[in-house]
Amino acid sequence: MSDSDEKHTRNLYRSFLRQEIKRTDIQQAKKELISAHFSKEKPFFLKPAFSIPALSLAGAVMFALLVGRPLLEKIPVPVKKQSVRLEQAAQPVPLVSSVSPPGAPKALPVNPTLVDVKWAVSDVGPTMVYQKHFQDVPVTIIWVFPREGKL
Amino acid sequence: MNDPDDSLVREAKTGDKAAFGKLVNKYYEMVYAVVFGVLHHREAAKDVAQEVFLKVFRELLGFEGKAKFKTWLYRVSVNAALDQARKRRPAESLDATDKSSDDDEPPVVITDKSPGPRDRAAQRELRVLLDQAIEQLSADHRAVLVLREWQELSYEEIAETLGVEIGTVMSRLHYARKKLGELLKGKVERV
Repeated sequence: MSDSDEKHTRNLYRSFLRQEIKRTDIQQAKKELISAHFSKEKPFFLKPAFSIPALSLAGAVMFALLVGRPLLEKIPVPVKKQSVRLEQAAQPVPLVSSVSPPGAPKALPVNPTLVDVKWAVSDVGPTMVYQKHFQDVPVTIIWVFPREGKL
Repeated sequence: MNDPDDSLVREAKTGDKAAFGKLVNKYYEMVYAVVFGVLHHREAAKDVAQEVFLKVFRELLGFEGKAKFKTWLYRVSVNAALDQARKRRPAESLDATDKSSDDDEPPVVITDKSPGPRDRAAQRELRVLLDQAIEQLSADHRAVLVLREWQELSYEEIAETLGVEIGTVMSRLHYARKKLGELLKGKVERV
């Protein structure tokens, strides 16, 4: 076999293999192998088992943000033109003090539970404001009784 | 020894599948070509190529880096292909590619200066002849052929990869080239 024949056969053989590896089904097999065994693991919430609940939750959050906020902003706030009548306690609360014996554990400070109920009137309707302090955190609840045709 | 794949191999050794995926992306064609060169059977070659990568990933911790990753990979590939060829019974011939879809694939390009319908038909005919010629070789002969003509390894490297003497490599290669030359003689000139 001459050198030129040998070279020609080599070129032919290499072309044959080059065409083989370019086939679409071979490239597809490569992609499938990588995606099935050697791709980055998805976070658990992106796995198919979680995809439907996750999408539902994402949808609910988006709905709340996009639709819920403008609706909330449309609710009239009954704070203007209000007149407040305060109901004072009938008699003053006596001041109590005590002295602990030396060595006794100090009692934890207790905040007296203060409840403040106020009535207010706004152009929407009668309003009741209920305020209570839990430790240092004030919690305020407002009831509004809108008059007919005001909402 | 400077191995360009060293950093990816180190990452893959820690269990990083994505890093190994990059190695698969880089070397899939090489592995497939070597395996197909030995088996000469498309579906079997796809399966063996996949098994090779899975095996290499499993055994990556045992890879000490004395040879380049690429060298280790084609050695595993050619030996996996030869094992597969020996497992098959003679009745289940590996010497058949999937001819059903051969009409859709591009033909082997030899001197395609003005490919008209006649040229394309001739090239398709040439591919069939080449298929038939390769079929007549044993898996051992094909292994030597693919390592020499495709991977361009030296006789020493082929001998080390296959665990045979250099003289055996040379005689197998001579036989394989002669056989292909005989079968293609005249046909190629006609094209």
